[in-house]
Amino acid sequence: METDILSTTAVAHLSFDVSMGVSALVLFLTFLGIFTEGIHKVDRTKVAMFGAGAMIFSGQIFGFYDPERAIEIVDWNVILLLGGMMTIIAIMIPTGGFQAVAFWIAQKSGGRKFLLLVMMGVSVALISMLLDNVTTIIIFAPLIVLICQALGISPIPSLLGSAILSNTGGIATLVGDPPNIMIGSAAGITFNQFFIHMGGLVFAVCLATIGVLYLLFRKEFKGRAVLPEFSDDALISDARTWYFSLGALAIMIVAFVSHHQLGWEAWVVAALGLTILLIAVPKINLEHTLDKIELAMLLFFMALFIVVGGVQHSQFLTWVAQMLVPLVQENMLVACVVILWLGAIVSALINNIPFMAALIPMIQSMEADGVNVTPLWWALAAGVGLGGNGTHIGASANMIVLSLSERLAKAEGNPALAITPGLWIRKGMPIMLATLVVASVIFVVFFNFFATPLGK
Amino acid sequence: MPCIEAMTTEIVTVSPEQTVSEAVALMDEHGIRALPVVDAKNNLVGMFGFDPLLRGLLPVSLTIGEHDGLDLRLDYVLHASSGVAQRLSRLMSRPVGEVMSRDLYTVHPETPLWEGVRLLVKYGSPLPVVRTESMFLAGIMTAQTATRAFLHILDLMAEGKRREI
Repeated sequence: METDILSTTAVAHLSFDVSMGVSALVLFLTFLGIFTEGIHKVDRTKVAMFGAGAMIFSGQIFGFYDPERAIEIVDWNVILLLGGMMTIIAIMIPTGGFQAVAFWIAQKSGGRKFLLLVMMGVSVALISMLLDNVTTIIIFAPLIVLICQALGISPIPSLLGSAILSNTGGIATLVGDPPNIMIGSAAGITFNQFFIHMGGLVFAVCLATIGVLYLLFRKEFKGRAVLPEFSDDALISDARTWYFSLGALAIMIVAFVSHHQLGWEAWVVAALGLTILLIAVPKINLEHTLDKIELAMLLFFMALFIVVGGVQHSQFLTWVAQMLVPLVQENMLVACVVILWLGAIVSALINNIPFMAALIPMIQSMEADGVNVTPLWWALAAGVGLGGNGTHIGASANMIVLSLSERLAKAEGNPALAITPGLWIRKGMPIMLATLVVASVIFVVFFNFFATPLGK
Repeated sequence: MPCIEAMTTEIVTVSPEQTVSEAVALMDEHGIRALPVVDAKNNLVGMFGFDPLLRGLLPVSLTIGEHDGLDLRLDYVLHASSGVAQRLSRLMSRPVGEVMSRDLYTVHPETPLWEGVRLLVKYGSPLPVVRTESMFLAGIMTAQTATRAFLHILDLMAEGKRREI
């Protein structure tokens, strides 16, 4: 944790200097490059890597940063946790277990369209609490399309609803999505503390989401689909690996609940689950499994940590935070609601990971100035998570659903099957706004609960 | 021996504008499973065959990269054949140009036969033989024509005509 580095420096009043200016410029240009990925078509990871190099290089010239400090600033807990979970999922996908779950849901829905959406969406939300949202949607979106085609109904409501509920479910836990992992790791929040604070909020928000989904798509839910005949003896392709994976996940949940008492950071739990699984199922081909890990994404995180580390060490972020402290201290509740909505808007419009990477050290340095930042963490987690639902570019899960539906529309020669960016905004934006209102109300009503400092 | 000596020039081709159903009829008539798709100048623009046709019948969910190609099983739903047949009937009226495969694996007339065999094994038969640059279709090399070429080499060796090989 970087708080100790910063706390010694934050006491004195800082004035702006050249190092701050240089590091802020590198940060700005890197973020600009990342956010305009769609225009210049240079992969965001490449941009971040270039930015990381530029930050280290300029840091060496101006004396605020160097390769050793860059290595130290990387939050390895985040990287290893993401990598470990990715590997476990890469083992689970080919077993066919998720497919069995999806078809079981389809069968139980009895062809009731709204019930199918709710059951599918809730399952996806539950799975997203433990696994990464993007992965959950990569697994489930093709299954939803397959099932809706078998039922002869439009897959759009279920696809959109599942992506949104996946993003929402992910907010509930420390390991549910990358922004939470980053917050939890930086603020030293335990799995239990996270779930206790965000679980109820997410539950309320999920109910609101399902309600708004019903209103938005009510015409689609009329009538009952004819259920195709499902096979009784279609088995999971690799049941042994599937059930052992579920066992490993169960052990991991227990370990997550007690990771603080065990003195383990979250990555240790993921590593434990993975190691148990690899030993319990000897036939898992490690090389083949590791090929599926999204190294580009892990590299993106490392590069961002290094870029943001530069503005931390130049004390630019401390300087910015210092100006914000009086505002935040004046009215914490307003600050929380502002950060909830600001986080949501940013998240709806641009990639939220760089935003998180820069904001987290700023909040940490406010903490070093003696501000009780606990409620800010919760507001940030909720805002960033819910904002992702507003637009098609708000979350990677949305993009996956969008591109799948476009391919489906093309393959079927039916443009009505495509979820266009406009359609996403018409459906997603009302959901985002409704859920933000619900979250704001919960924040105002239970403010004392969210504002109580966490015992570390 | 170069590929030009192992190819056949008796080829049935189809244009991108012809319908899938015409192409299927051609393949049936000649007992073949793939057709080079060529434009008016006889330049290769794609390949059409039973494999891409069947791939077009699969649900789109199975053919997206993220799900590891054809990993999703279809045995959960019974009696889906009539739905699949309907997909086929929609495909039959579409132009070949929309359904054909554009990922082309080709050899040149001067490519050594051994390299041609490697590509046949890697990408399957048939392999179009095209002139460099223009993609002018000179012939096709198939598993049969390649094997025949090697048998011919054996004959030549038996006759002691090493130089001609």
